[in-house]
Amino acid sequence: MGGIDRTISWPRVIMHVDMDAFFAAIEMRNMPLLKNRPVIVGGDPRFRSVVSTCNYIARQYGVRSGMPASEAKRLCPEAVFVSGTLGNYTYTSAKIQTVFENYTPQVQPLSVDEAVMDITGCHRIFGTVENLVQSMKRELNDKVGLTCSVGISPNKYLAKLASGENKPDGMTIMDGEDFKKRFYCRPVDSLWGIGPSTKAALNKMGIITVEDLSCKEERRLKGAFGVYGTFLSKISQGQGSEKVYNWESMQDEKSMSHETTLRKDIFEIDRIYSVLLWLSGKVAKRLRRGGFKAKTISVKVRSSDFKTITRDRTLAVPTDQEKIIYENARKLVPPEYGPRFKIRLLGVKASNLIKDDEEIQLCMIPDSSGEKLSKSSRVIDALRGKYGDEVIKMAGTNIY
Amino acid sequence: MDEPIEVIALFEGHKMKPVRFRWNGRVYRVSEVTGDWKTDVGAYKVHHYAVVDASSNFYQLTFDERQTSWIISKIWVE
Repeated sequence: MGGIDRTISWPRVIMHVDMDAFFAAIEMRNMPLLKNRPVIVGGDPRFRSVVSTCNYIARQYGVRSGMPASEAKRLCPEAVFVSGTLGNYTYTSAKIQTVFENYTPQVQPLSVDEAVMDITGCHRIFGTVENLVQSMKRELNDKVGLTCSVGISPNKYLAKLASGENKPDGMTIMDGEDFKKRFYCRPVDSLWGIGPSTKAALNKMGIITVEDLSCKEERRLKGAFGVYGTFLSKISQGQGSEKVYNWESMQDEKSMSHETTLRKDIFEIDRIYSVLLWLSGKVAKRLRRGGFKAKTISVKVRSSDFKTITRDRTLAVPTDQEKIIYENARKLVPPEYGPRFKIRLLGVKASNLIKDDEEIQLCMIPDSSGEKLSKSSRVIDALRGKYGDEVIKMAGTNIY
Repeated sequence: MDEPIEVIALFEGHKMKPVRFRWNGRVYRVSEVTGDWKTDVGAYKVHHYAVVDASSNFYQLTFDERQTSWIISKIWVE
């Protein structure tokens, strides 16, 4: 029970909760026959698709999220492939969110299956941090029948690392000193945020372990990696933000994006534009639902040889209209894609968001065409709200 | 698969709980509801139930509020 003594001296106590193999766990809960079997949630391995997630048994075979489903099948032939039920996952995610809010009002969802919370002071209600975590785990088990792994640290970055230390159904308390003891001897890619290409670049610079990285001067890392170098320097020393943003306070920082891995590589320009139109519609709908407008539109393109580029442009007038998002997204697709490179994945992102009411101050010249678009979008949203998304679509999305 | 079924359900604790269903002339007894969730289709809700029988065979049953009808949408039988 050393946790309470340590956390009480921390300026903030941050908890990261990661649901264990979330999608796979829901499928296993629903289908008890799947227990004790390798379960992979994702597309059909006979077609081109990727692994969304898998349970811990499948992970022992080397199966990982994002891996092509055909490769997962080769690694683990006896695995059960489940197509997944998105509606169930989002519904369960919302239920989990309400459980989190029973423990602190400061909850920042990071994705459908993880969240970070500021529990400073709250744990005293339960006696200790451990009691709070046990109570939350029990409630999660009772209400959704799932387990989670928890990390407790003085900042968000360390809390995220800590939750990965004892999976599944574990809890780890880790401060800066624990971080040094645990991580300094590990390779650099054991830190969240360092992928294979960064690892290779760091290794070339003679940086192999986290300790090597922590010893490197920040200016050298910045020289090699730009702003990302500053991030690398900070994380190697266990530093990170302690500010938890709940939904209301997130409005200045978040972005909204949609991307899709295509069933088959595409190169026909009409198809590329059709997918962009479909994605733009999804992004625009989320913007309007949240009452946001975006100042920056980005496009992500991954070619069949897995090379990924992202491009963005800033708009003169913020928008929540799919037509405008689409027109800008179109211009961002490099002209050589399509004729020369086949495309495997496309994504559209809206960022630099402002609330609807802020726009009035930013936009001095009234735009009558924008007003007409907004009116038609409101009618379309109302129709979709009543009869479902399929009731009305942009004609161009039919090509995709 | 989305095939029509007939369902007997209980209403308890503000929740609907399928207890028995008839599919292709055969009656199946639900031994446990292992999961339930809702999705929106326009202004209407669609209720989904993951259920198992005594042999742990799995069935996914769906109730569409708008149609007031039940379908069986997935099975996993061994």
